[in-house]
This record gives sequence, structure tokens and C-alpha cells, in this order.
Amino acid sequence: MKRFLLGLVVFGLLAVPTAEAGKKKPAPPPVVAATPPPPPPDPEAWRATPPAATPERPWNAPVPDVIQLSNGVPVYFLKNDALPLVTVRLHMDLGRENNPAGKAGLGALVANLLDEGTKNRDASGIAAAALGLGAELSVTAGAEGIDLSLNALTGEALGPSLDLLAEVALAPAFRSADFKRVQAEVLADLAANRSNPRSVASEVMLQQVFGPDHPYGYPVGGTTTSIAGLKPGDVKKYYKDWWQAGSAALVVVGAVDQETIVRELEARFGGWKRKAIQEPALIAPATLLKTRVVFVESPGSVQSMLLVATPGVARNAPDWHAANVAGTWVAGMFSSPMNMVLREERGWSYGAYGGFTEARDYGLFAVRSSVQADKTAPAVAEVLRVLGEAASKPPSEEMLNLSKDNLRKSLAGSFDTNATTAASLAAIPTYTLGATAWRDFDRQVEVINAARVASMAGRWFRPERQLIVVVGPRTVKATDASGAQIDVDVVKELQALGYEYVEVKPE
Amino acid sequence: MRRSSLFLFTAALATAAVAQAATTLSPELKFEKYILPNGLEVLLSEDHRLPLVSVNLWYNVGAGSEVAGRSGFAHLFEHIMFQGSRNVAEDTFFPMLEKAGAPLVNGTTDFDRTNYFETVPSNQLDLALWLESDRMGFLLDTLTQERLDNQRAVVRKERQQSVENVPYVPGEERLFQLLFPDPHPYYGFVIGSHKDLEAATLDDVKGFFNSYYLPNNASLAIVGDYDPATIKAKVEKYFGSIKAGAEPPPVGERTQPITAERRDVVKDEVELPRVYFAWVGPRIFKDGDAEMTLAAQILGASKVGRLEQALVIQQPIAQEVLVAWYPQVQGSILEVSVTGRPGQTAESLEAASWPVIEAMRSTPVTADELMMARRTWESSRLRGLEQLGGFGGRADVLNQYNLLAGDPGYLPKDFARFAAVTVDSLMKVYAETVKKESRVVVHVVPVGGEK
Repeated sequence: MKRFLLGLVVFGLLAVPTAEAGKKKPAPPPVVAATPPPPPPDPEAWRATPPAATPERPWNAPVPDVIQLSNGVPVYFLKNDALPLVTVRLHMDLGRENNPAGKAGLGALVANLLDEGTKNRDASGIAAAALGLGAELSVTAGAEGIDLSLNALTGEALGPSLDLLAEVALAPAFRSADFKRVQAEVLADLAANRSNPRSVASEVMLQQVFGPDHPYGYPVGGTTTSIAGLKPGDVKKYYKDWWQAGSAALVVVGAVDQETIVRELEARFGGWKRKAIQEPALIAPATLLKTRVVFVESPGSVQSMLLVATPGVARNAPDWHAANVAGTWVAGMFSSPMNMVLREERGWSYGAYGGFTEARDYGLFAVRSSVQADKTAPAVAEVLRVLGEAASKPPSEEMLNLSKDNLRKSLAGSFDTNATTAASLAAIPTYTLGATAWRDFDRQVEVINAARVASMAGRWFRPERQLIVVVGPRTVKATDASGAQIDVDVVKELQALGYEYVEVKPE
Repeated sequence: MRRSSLFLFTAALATAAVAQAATTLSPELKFEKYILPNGLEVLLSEDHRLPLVSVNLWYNVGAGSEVAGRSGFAHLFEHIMFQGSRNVAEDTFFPMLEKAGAPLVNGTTDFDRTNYFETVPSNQLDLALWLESDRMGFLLDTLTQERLDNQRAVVRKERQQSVENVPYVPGEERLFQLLFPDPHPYYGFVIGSHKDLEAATLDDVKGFFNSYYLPNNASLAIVGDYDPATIKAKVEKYFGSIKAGAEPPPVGERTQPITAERRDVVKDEVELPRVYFAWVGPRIFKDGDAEMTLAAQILGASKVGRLEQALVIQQPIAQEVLVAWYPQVQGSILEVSVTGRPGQTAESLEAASWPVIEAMRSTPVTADELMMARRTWESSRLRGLEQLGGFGGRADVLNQYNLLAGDPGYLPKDFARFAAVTVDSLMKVYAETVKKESRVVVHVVPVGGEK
């Protein structure tokens, strides 16, 4: 019933109001009237004042128990008895650095193939087994790892559901026919991405920030060239080289008791061997020494996609929380200056948002906005101006508290279901955080002061050190203030901003 | 922590030979329902695990109540609800909730209802109730032509962004037009046409508000970390003084059965061709609705469904197969979409899919297929209930059951009606619904020709 939900969501998103400030007429001058007779007392007058918050209920995110299987695989465990459901997540610490040179997307293809066939079952057999058990089994490859997630019913169905998870993780078949089918599907998806400006902008940004020799210079899913060049043997070799117990962590959230689930997991994953591996070395991306505008033509678009980025900070770095507050302040919220300027003041965009991405090694700070094409260059200038102001002036007390509260108060929303809780807990092994990371989050954000935020802003938001990717049309027709039709030369205006300017064509 | 008191739960083991672990689920969601003197139905369900509370307000009106020449109006109206009311200044609705730390805020319009919901930290419950009650009671006080014009422009821009410029969506819109010909209010998409949006007037907004946005035409669910000692006084404070209105007009009977095939071809900026099939079928919560829900699953489940098996796995001519059942008050929709691999045409896709769809009219589904489909429905319904708010969350489900099934305690009955579906009942409903002469077919053809 995926479509049903999508239909609702589409119109749900439409419901978000847009101010369209640019289209607003100026308010008429106030009319001064004669003194009116006193109005009768209004029984609803009390509504004029918004209600104050009642005292905050103290809440800290939960701390999981950490148990080790006999082969050292850690199990992060949290009990939730509300419904007879459990989520079991297997996180594999495998990222783009594990792909051999020239084979971007290999790890993602391996992940994709895990549930396409095992020694005992074909793709349909795996899917049918899951459906029959009322279980959902999914495999995702992300920037920092490959995650297998099982949402299962407890009781009789749990054992067979865990069997299925273990079978997919530990006994994939990688048959040639499945490889060919899935490779073709992935290639068709990559082809479709070429018409998605957001994907194009991200891909170009990674290339520009990390360069072609760095594994992070490519999207997790690879490129048309790299995927087309892969052979079934590449998949098998990757699995043999990297898929071992030393890279694994398990997360369990749900209505099971700890002793039982650990026993069940030991029976299925305890015999999995650890293997000595040489961790691939990663070099830090070069600091951006000057701002560069990278233009990708998207003929005929009525909007331009802007992506402004700079290398950031690792999730487990001491500066993370201060940087995260700074990112939230400048571009993380509806009320952040980035959105307020581009959407509310200028009316050039439906929204402009950004922040620091969570990353194990080299994070990024990025701001994205889809803007009216004839305002492309002015919008780039505004983004840089907003960043520059933030870099040179600390946040007001109000904005500082708003940013901190936004992070602190919305945390509970990441612990509402077994699946979201397991995803939150998986951050612990993913970014090598301590088990108390989420419990401590509230206090760590609370203590950030304006000076810390200002120092982060001064370091990351400097307008002279940003990479700007623009995916848009070269020229576009527009209407000027007098209502006359004009041609806007987007490229010329971008060049006139005075930064280094290059054009690229994504493959 | 009162975790186990949220749900009453019974599980019985079935002995069906087909099931590996066929536990029959029968959850029951604890709640309290009461009605204010002005007719507002209130549903309360406590959960103190997180410091969050969801406020979810369903109005018993959607695009299905629109009049001829005003398509898209219910959704346009929903936009205006976010633009301010007597005490809520323009463009402050979202920022105030953001400041409060709300993890979820939205409003959505469907054919049969409009809902508004926010999940807020529990110490900000008053703010959510104040915002919702102000627009329920006092929306029109600050309504201006400018505000209407503004939102009209926004919705038209969004129609361009989310319908006209999205691959395949114009073809799907054509499908929805053919299913329910104009002037049926289900004609096309909820978002409506540019022409009708242009035609909407300030009087339309006032009339719609006065007819439908009434406490006696709404259902308010509050789920989560509220104080049971004060919650009723709070609801009374914010909603109690809002005046009831005249009972809204019923939607009436406007759906005509389709007796001869309808089809069309839509050219679109797409790389790959697609064929859509659709039928009008049994209505939401009525006889046959559960059967069709499961039939859609049997046809379309990823890697397992009959169409997936035939067209994606065995002879891979399709890039994607989607089968959806949209349960609705004035006629539900079964929609099948098949997107081709390079080299296919819409005609070849239709020729390959139709025999699979038709075969299910006469070849009985297996007990295994039925069991898998039912288990999928049961477990996904259950997983949805983990959430307080959001689609399929507890507040949403309570309101859906209250307004559309007429019983907020419908959850066990819902499970029971799915448990009662048999191979015979499913075959009978499917054969009555999915006929060649009652089908609607749309081909989406690449502008640049099929490759």
C-alpha cells in the first residue's frame, strides 16, 4: 500500500504554506477613524494571548544495554513491551572506502543482492518467507555502512524471522542471473536520477569536494560507468574480503527479554568468524581555499537547484554539538535566516535548509534550495551574505535558544517506534559514540553558549570558502519590475559574482 | 512506565498447515470517547513513554464534497487554515510550533476527509489546542482577498511542481479523470484544476467554512503524554465555546458504474513507457473492501505478487510494478501501474500484464497467497500503531475509525474482517470488480518515442 501513503503525503506536503513574500502587495496605509464606541466585553478575549508552556517534563533518551556475543559482536539492547513487535538491526561498518578504485557503488550492489538469493531460497522465496511471518526485512547501503533491518512479530514468528535475517546476512548466493537483473535495475535508476537536479547537484558536489581519487568523491550507489563495469566476481570478492564479524554490530529494540534474544542471536551469529582486515586509509579532503561556482546546465528548467557546501566535522568530534547548533541556527529551521531571507523576504524559493551531515570521518556542511531560475545568481549572493553575517556576528540569545531547543526537544521523536529507536541506537556503533550518547545529548547541547557557536560559524560559514553547485538553465525569460519581458543570462550573472567559475557535465 | 497497559492483547495460534507461525492477532487500543455539547467528538488515549502528545483533528469533509466548478477547493481551503485566524497572526503557525519543539506538524486533504495534526512536547499541549481551536472557531475574522489570492498562487505553483512536472503523474491524473467523469467530485486529483482554482471566491471560502468546519463535523484525538486529571478541562476551555452549526449536507450518491472500457494515451517527458489499469470497487469498511485490499497485495507484493513474479522476476520486461487499493467513501480504486524496461512499449506492457490480472478472476488464489497478504496487512497495521501521530499512528487510526467506520473501537473488528476473508470470498469480489469491460486504461508514452 505504498502508493496510498504516497498519495496522502504528496498532498500533505502541499499543505505546507508558502508565504510568497515576493508576490505580496504592500499593505495599504492605515485609515484613521473617529473614536469608536467602546465594544461590548468579549468573552473570547482571553484567546489573544498564546498559552505559556507548562513546566518541561524531564526526559532523557534511553541507554541501551551492551552485551557481546562469543565472537565479540556487540548487541545494543533496549526493551519495549508496548506491542508484540521487535526490530533487529545488523549494522556493518562498511563504507565507500571499502570499494576498490574505479568500483564506486560496489558495496551498495552487494547490499542490494543480499536479499535476492541465498543458498536455499531465491528472491521470491525470501520475500514470501518474510510476508508469511508478518516480517519486514530491508537492506540499505548508506554513507557509513550497510544496514539490515528486520521488523518482526514476537512469539512463534520470531525464531523463523531471525533465521531469515541470518540467512540473508551470512549465506547469500550472488547468482549470476540475479546479479544481471539487479545491475540492470540499478542502471535504470541511475539513468532516471540524471533528470533529478538534487541528485545531480549532490554528485557534482562530492566530486568537487573530494576529487576523483577519493572514495568519497562518488555517490554511495556509484555511477553509470562504475556500475556497468562490475562483474559477479567483484561482488563475491567484496563479500569475501570485508563481510566478517569484526565489522558487525547488532541492535535490538522490542518486546523480547534480553536473555532470550541474546541466546537466539548467539545461536545464529555467534559462530560467525572475525577476520584480520586492513582498514582502508582515508585522506582528509583539501580545505577549500577560495569560493568556486560550479555550473551544470539543465536546459529549460524554471528553477535552479543550489547546493552550497564546505567540508565539515565528524560526528564524534568534540566540536560536533557546537557545530550542529550553529548549523541549526543558520539554516536548520523554518525560522533560520537562510529560509527567512530566501523564502520570506525575497520570495525566490519554497524553502532553503541546511546543516552539518552526521559522518564518521569527514562530514559536510551543506545548504540546499531550489530557487526561481531568473534569481539564481542573486540567490547565490544572498546565501553567501547570510553565511557571512553568521560567520561574523554571534547569534542572538533568542536564536541560540531556539536552535538548542529545536535539537533538544525534537529528540524524543527519534525514539517513537522500535524501528526509529533502533536507527537512533545504531548511530552508536556507526560513529563510535559511547552507549550513553543519546542520554547525554540533551546536556551536551544545553551547555553550548553563543561564543562556541560563533567560533564554529566563523570557522565553517566563511563566504570566501564555499563550494557552490548550480544546476539550472543558462538563460531564462522573466518579467522585470515594470512588467516587461526580459531575458536573464544566468551564466553571465553567476560569472559576475566574481568567484572562480567552472562548468561541468555529469556523466 | 505503563507500557503494557496501552493495548489489550490476545494471540491465538492457528493451525493452518500453510503458515509457518500463523498467530492470529487481535489488538485492542485503549481509549475514551466523549462528545462536547457543541457536538465535537473527543478521543483520548494515554501513553507516557515519551514526553510527547499528538493532537489530531479530522474534519468530515474532503474533495468529495466539492461542488461542480470548484475542484481543488477543499485543499485550497486547507492551505488557508495555516495562514492565521483571529488570534494567530499571519505566518506564525509553523514558527510557533517549531519554537515549541514540535517534531511533526502537517495538514492533508483527501477525497473523504481533511486532517490537521501536530505532535508536540507534552508541556506545549495548550499551544496545540489553542492553535487548532482558534482556526476552528475564528478563521474568518482575519481572512482577506489577499490571503486567498496568495494561497491560490501557491497551490497553482504546487500543481505545476508536483503534478505537471513529475514524470507519469499527468497520466495518473488522466486515469482518475476517466474513473469518475466530471462533475463527480473525485474527478482527477484532490489538487483540482487551474481553472477551478482561479474561480474560487472569498464567498466560497466563507461558505465552506460555515458549512463544514464545525465542531459537530469534526473528531479530535489526543494521544500521548497528557495529564488525565486536567485534559477534559483543557479541551472544554479551548473548544467548548465554539458554536455548533447546521448538520452538513450528505455527499449523496454520484458514482456511476463503468460498463464499457475507457482508455486514453498521454505523452510525457519520460524515459520508459508505463501502462495504468484501474477499477472502481467496494467502498471503505463495506463488504468486499478487505478482500480487495488483500487482492491488491496478492497481485503486487514486491518480488512475490503475481505481476511482480511474471513481469519483474521471471521475464524481466518491467522496471517497476505497483498495485494499490485506495479505500474511499464514494467508490474505492484499484490501481495497477507497470513501467517497462527499455525496449518495451505501453502496448507490449498491456499485452503482458492483462493475462496475469485476468487469470486471477478464474484461477483461485492459494491459501499461501491469502495467508501472506493477510499477515502483511495485520503486521503493517500493528506497526503503524507504534506511533502516536502521523499516518497510521494511533491518533490517526482512532479518527479514521470514528469518522469513517462509525466506531473508534473498530480495531479488533478490523482485524476480524480481514481474518474472515476466504479464498472464495476474495475470488468472488475480485471477479465482480476486475472486469475487462469495467476497466480504465491509460498509456504513458515517452514524448521522444519509445526506446
